[in-house]
Amino acid sequence: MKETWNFFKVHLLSDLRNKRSIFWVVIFPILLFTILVLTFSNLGVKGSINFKIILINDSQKANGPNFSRELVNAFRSLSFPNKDAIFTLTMMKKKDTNAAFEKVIYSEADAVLIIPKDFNSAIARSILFSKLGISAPLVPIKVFYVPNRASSNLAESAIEGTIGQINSYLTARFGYTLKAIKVKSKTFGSIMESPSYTNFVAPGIMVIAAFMTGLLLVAPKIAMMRRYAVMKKYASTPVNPYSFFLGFTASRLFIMIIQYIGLALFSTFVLGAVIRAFSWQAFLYYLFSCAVYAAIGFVVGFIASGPTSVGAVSSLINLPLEFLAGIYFPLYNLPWYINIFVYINPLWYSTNALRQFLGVAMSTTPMWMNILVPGIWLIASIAFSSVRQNLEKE
Amino acid sequence: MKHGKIQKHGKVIEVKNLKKFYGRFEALKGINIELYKGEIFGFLGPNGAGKTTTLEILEGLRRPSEGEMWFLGEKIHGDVPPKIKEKIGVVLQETRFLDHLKVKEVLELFASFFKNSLGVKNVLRTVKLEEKENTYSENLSGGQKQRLAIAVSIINDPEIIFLDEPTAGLDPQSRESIWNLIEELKSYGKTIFLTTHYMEEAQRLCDRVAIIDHGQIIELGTPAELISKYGGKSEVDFECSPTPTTVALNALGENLIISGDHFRIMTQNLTKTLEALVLWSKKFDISLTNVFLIEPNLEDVFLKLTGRGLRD
Amino acid sequence: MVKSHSQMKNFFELVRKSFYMFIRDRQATIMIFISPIVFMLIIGFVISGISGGTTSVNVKVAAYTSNSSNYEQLFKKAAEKSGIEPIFVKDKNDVKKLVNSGKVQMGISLESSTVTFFYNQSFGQYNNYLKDLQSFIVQAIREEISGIPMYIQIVPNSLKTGSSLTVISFIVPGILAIAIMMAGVFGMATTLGTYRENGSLKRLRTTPLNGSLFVFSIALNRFWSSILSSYITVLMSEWIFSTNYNINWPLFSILMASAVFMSLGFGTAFSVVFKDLWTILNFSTIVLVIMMLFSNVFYPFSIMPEYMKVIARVMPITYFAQGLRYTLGIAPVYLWKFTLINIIFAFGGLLMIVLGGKAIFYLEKR
Repeated sequence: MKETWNFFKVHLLSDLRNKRSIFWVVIFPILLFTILVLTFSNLGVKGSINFKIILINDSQKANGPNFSRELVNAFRSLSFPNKDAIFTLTMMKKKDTNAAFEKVIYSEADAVLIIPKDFNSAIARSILFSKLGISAPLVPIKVFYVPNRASSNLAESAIEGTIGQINSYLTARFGYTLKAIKVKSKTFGSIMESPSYTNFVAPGIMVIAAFMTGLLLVAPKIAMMRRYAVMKKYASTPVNPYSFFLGFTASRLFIMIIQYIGLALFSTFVLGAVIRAFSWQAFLYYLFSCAVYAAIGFVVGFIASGPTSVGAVSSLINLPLEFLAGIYFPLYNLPWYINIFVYINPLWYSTNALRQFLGVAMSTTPMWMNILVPGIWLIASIAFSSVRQNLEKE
Repeated sequence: MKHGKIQKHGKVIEVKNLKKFYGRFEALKGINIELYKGEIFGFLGPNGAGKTTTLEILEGLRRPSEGEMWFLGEKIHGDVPPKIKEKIGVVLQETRFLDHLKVKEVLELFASFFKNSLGVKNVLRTVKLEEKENTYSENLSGGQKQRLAIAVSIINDPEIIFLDEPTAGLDPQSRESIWNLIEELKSYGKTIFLTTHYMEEAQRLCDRVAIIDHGQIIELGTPAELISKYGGKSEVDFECSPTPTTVALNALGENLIISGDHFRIMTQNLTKTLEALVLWSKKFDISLTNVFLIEPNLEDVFLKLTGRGLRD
Repeated sequence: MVKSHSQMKNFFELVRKSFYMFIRDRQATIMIFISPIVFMLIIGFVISGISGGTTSVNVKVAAYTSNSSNYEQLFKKAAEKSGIEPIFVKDKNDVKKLVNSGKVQMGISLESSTVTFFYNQSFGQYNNYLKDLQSFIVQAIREEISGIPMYIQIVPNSLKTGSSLTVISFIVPGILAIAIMMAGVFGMATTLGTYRENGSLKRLRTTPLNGSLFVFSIALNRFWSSILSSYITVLMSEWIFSTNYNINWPLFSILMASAVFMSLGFGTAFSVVFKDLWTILNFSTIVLVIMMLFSNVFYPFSIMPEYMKVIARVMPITYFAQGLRYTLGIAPVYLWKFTLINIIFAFGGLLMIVLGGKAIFYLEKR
């Protein structure tokens, strides 16, 4: 017991004194979390979206209402500097059409909108026809954009959406009424009302933190201890090998628990996440995941040729594993050969389970699988490590 | 200095009042050394005495805080210029050569850095690594790695070779082969500056040694000079049977120390004492066993000068 | 047997030896040749997966209508207007099944005058975009049901004729840019970091070898291999994702060359600034994550908040990706701008390599 405690203490201290460990265990998860939240919480939300459009009003004055002016005003009201503007509007003359196109082609603007010459009369005619019950041809407004550029493409859709609104505004003005329809929405697997990105990503960050600890605080150490024969040195003393594994593993788990608490506090109080951070189920499942990652860390430590190669290997496998765990983006529509990696990825199950236990979303995989698959990883890793350890004695 | 004018002409390195500060710590407190062509100069001292610092300043790896240096009669201002680097060879305390290169490729690479090259084959023969020319440098044994390091240091046919603890951590056999190699290099007329904390190494290889401690040279001379100056008495240790009588013991004189069955005679003149001891054994019909002659060595010199051992 | 070497031969030898070191270093070769492909495959699939698959830009919706024939027609029209792809199911429960399994992004059921939308909570943030779409769909359905006339129609005109692109084609240049930068920065930084840690640099410092030349010889081997790797990666993307780029190979090669130089330059600079290998790796990771997220690699400027735009504009990766899109025939860039990007990348990179090489040798002296 005393030996186990000593191993626990020694390994814990050695990491707490190591800048490199502190970086990966404390700083990296928090930094990543903050960067992700800063990015995705504000991406594409109202106020962030803004398309630069150029409007060319070529319409001529006609008798009766000036529809084109109404249209321009409608776009103006949706443009900067108005509140919730989604456009930055530039008016240009007909003769500058080519210059406007060039601006769009070379990314200086997102789309060009041209109100045709006969717009006013065409609308007037159209209204008249429809009042008489004759179907009138639609009045075209040309939008020029670059479909191969995302922002231009999005701008085009936004304009189409706006025109829909203008249409219904016009129909209302001319006495049509829209039938009332009831709109309901239901979210499957919902625990909380539309979770923010912070809530969505928080469980994944905890998983990454624990995984990092498992990989970088276990594997390089094991590799180093093998290289410098520290294990052999221990084996030559009367100390029970289990007390080393127990003490060492416990010190890793201890670090992971600190990570959990730290991240829970950080996400709740700094980033304002609304998660059930202190649910027992979440915590127990987290501990289980930690055990799995520590075991995987042992395996990597036994396979790796040296501490530096662990660093290289982990930086290589890290990102794919995290992406295939649906931590940053939901997983959808993947081809089968990529899906295989998702289904064997323990990080995916942990993320799913933790999302449920932390009250963010129901797990997409059944809970028994969230325990079974990582469980298989755990058992296989332990089996592999002990076989390797025994082989090295021979 | 004892050396005459002829040797002064062959002055290869001269260092005057070399000082090095690390913050407030004064690692070197004014080192003065002169190296002459063809000699092996030993720098002897415990860990942290300033050996490596001095050597690395000469190699151009560290910048002196104060002092002046001359290489081959040329004064060094600032960095050691490439012209001088062409003429020196270096074996660092611990060198790992670039990974994934074979022995001969390492040599080819280093050869390409210099204007002069002795040729890879020649050098491999000199260090006896011909058979390993296609082995990756990281797969060599400790002794072989060190021989490769020496091979690399002589590829440019340098005039001066710096060896920083060339045999540290090697087994006796490898050490012996490195010593032979260094002696061979000397026979080609190379000047060798060597640091070590093995006194047997210094005693065997060096023409002159400087003893350095706490950043200062505390003594400089040939090993023999230093030993005769500071080494004290030689010893003859022996056992004998049957146990000598008191009369017989008294005949050995007052320099005898007895501890149980073990006898030790301290002497200034080893030959004379040995002759006397043989005569004594005949006279009293005593047979001598386990006779050991212990001569003073640099370790004793060092102990005397600093009050502590070389490897403390 | 003393022979003389000329300066040129000397450099050639150095490059040749760096070549051996590089091709025999399994870790380095994997980093350069395999990691960009793996990186592209995974991120490409994940990101294009949520935003509409590899075929076209759309949202798949499971739709159930009570009055099948009539409402189906109606719904189809509405779907066309709002840019969704409906998959009609016979049973309302199938909607739930499809949504839950993640085979469609959302579900809609249309019964008499009630429209119900179904979402999957595990899609997280993405549901917010889908809910924006919801109002468009409702509007379209309402118009269809009410039978009201439309007056204005938007006629989209493409300004750039060329092959029509899929979501993945938008993303691949960005991923390629990141993967190539990553391999360059990491590769250079780890190599130089390792040489410093095992004392090789110190040993080299005692020879007349010029530090810039040494670092340049390493960079040169990373250089050709990165270019080769970029060809393989882009061809792999063509094959796996059927991206159908209209690749301008000469310009692509020029841009790759200058961008690889820049990446290698950054790798060199990082290993000069940070002393130990781990700090170099840590710092590079952070920089690359920031580059990946705070740039217009995955999403356009027009949906970024102001502070992100500012950061994105100073990230070299933004311009790398922009240039790549140009050389792949996706989006045009002014020639002067493309030239400027290349000149800055190439000279900046070269400068960092040459000065970095000098500095890294200089710093070996204490």
